[in-house]
Amino acid sequence: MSRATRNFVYQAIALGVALGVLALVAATTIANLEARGISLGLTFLWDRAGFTLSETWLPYNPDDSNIYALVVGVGNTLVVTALVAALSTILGGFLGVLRISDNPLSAGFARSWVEFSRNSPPILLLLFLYSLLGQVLPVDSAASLGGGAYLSLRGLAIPVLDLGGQGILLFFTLLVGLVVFVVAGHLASERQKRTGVRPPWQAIAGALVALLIVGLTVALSPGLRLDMPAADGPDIVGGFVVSPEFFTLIVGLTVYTSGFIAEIVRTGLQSITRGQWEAAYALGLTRGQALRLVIIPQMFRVIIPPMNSQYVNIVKNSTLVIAIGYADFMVTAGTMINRTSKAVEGTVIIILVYLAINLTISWVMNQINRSFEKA
Amino acid sequence: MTSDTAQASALPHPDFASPAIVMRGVGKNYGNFQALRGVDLEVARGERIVICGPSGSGKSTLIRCINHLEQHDAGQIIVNDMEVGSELKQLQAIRAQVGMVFQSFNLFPHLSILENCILGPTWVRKLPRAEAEAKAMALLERVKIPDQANKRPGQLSGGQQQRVAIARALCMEPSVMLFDEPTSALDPEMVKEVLDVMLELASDGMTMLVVTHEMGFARQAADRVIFMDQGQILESAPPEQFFANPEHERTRTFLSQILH
Amino acid sequence: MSASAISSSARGAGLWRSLFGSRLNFALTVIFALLLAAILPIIVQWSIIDAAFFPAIPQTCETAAGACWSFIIAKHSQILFGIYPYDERWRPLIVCLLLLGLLIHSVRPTAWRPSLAAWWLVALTACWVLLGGGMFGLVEVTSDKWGGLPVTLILTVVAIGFGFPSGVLLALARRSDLPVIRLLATMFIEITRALPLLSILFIASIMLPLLVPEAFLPDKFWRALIALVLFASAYMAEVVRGGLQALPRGQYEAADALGLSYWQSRRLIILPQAVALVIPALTNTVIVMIKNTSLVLVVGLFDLISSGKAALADPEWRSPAVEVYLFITAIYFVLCFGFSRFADSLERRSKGSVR
Repeated sequence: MSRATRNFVYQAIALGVALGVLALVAATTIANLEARGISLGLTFLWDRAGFTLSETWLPYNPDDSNIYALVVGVGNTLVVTALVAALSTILGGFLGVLRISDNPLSAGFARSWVEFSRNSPPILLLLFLYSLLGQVLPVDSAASLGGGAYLSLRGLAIPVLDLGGQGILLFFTLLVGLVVFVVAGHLASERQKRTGVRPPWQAIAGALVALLIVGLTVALSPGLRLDMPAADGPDIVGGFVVSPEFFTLIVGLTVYTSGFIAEIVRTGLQSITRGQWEAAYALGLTRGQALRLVIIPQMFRVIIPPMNSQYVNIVKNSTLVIAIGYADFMVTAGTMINRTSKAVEGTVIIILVYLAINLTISWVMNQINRSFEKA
Repeated sequence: MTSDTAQASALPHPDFASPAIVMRGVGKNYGNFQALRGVDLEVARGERIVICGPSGSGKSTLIRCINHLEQHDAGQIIVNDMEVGSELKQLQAIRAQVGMVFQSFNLFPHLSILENCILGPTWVRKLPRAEAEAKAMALLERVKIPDQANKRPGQLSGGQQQRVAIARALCMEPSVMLFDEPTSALDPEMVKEVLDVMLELASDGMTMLVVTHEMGFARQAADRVIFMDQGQILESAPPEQFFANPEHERTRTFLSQILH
Repeated sequence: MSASAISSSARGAGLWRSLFGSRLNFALTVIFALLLAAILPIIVQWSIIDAAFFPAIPQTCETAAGACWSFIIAKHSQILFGIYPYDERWRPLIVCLLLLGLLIHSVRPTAWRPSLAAWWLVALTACWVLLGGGMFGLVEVTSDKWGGLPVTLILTVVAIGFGFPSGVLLALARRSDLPVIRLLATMFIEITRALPLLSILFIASIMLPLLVPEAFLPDKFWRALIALVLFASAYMAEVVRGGLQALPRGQYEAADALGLSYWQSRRLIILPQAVALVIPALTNTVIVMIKNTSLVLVVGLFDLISSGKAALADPEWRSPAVEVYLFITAIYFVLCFGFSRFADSLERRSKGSVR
């Protein structure tokens, strides 16, 4: 038998076996479903959900449809993922730099953090934090965190700007100020290209905007309202409240993920050969210029693939919250499947949703990678 | 501004009245290992020096101390009347006047060739970008690869990369050029193109310190050849004398090993 | 100055410089010293000074303001071994030691002979017999009473034991020239790696009753095990694929030039080298699997963490959850950290002793 024929036969067998198993499984599944009186179909998605979710970021009540409940669940997962990704990237980047500092205290601190993340299961960390909160927080009052924030068994409350009335003027001024700051920086870079000297426009713009914001706040303060949380026993009235479960999840996952991101940043920094530093110094660049122009751009390229996996891991680890009681997508889908008995459709939906989320993250990271190639 | 072939007699003469580099009693330790011991060296303006010696003799360490990539533990190093020390502003000024070419090229892979060359002038000498680019293109012409200006280092051969590295260093308009084994990492057929560039530089009167095993270059371009062994300068002589009549036994042994 | 004087004073000077040498180092030292000074006394106070130790009864904890270690002392056996009959707890202890020894033994490339597979089977059978009993004069203990650390280790070892060979096959399939096989393997690996383990456990739990005829339906334990094996095989496949890719092409070509068949060249030349290349990543995957087995608590199996939770339910004590979770974390830390350190030292020793 020639090689080509043999290859063809192997593949035919593999395909045949795969299809055969699939057919067998499908047949058994249909038989089992019939025996239990469950039908296949997607119309159940528009039926009334009929179950409650402990907390949601989108408005939800049990009268909403199943499909909306799933959307709410995805929203819950995405909020957690985005927040943890942002916080742990900053914290992890900082830790990664600390890890390679020559100060033994800071390097040891970062190292301990990394080893802790590596060697403990995340679900344990969440359970530990949750029970710690329960034991440390007073039962019948709220602990003040300073700056008007409160932490109690009911949740974390922070003061937030009430956007009614003149608050919205302040908010818009802040936005405009940000834009002015960025544009000033851009103009300064253009001028630097032309003359070689960077004018201090960005610093001046920043100072002016800051002054304006402060002045506006003072001038408008009679008319501004802050939604301040006020402690009423263990209850908190007002302010922006997140549940203890959410708080635990964010803090726990951030701490956990930061350890891994720190390692990624460290490996990225160390992978830049010494020669690059030396060439930059030999040209007369300062340490800061060398970091900014030569080292960090190269480091970003190196760390994008492992950062991609870490962000995907955050999505996966967000499902652990089932142990504490937050309603992420997995919990929502699971509850729906249990109520409607639509196991097959539900499974497919779960797989598709997580695939979609992870593919989106990979796509975004790829775009970031490409933008580095162009620059 | 260029001459075709560089013969030692046709090269401009160094100006011994004003030394570019003065090293007095320079020492450097790595833990227990003494890489440099009591090195005294004066490099005149426009002088071209080739430094050779067995590995571990301290020759790379010597030139890396000049632009403070290594910090010397003893003695003094003075470059263009400025002392090499830890004071940052002075160090930057010295590094702007001393160009360095590395054995492993060390081009910045995330920037194009042109961007590699204008990085120093725009950020350290604060030149306007257009002016820096014009100067860079002129230098890329001089090292004979102007058409590669927009490529990335990874797309170039080793010889081309090293020539870019020389152009990058020259873009800062240094008064001294240091070469740390510039051809050791190259395939044999690319060594000549780099040496040709270096010969041209030499014939234009650039003050050069070259650590290398390429004795042909030493014969053609050097005013002095220095032999280092175990952290000390053992011999220092014009090339005719150095190759024909070395004083020390170790020099002779070394020469017999590399000139076969 | 003599040589040794240089090095010791240089070392002292080095430490001083790294703590206080530059402004940044000084600031860092101050910040972390303050941090330590603020936190350490509280921790010491809670965990040692005010803590309750002996006698290991509830009253000791009620009178103590600090940590309730008496609970751990009294109940450590239940946390570690679940509701396994008290008198027989030497058996799960032996099982734990056996499985740990097996894992440690298997990481070394020198142990990779066909006899290793035999050892695995023997060890797992021995664990089965030891835990289950009913023969060799051992009292029978049904599987619903198994729990704690032995379950964690069994799940890990079985998941890796079956996941690794499957992973190798999947890796080879993914690199195959035959497009159908490559596609099937890639789809399986990518989908499994994209999903959270929890969802795989969940899907296995709810789907298997539908996919499989009633008679063949595995129980809770086996369903979780199947999910873990699938998960481990996808991750191991990627690790091994990395090794296969890192191996120089010349090795493949030399094997072909000798006239070896596909399977011969893989078995004798390619795989031994490829796997040896990725031992650090494999050790990492073992550690990840040890941690991942903690998820089975969500599907109702009694691993180490759920045994801890169950022990907390004792109404006589005041539920010292923090102390229990710290204890369990310490166990995981010892397992994972110890394992990785051991694997590191093996790798260093093997690199040093070669040629």
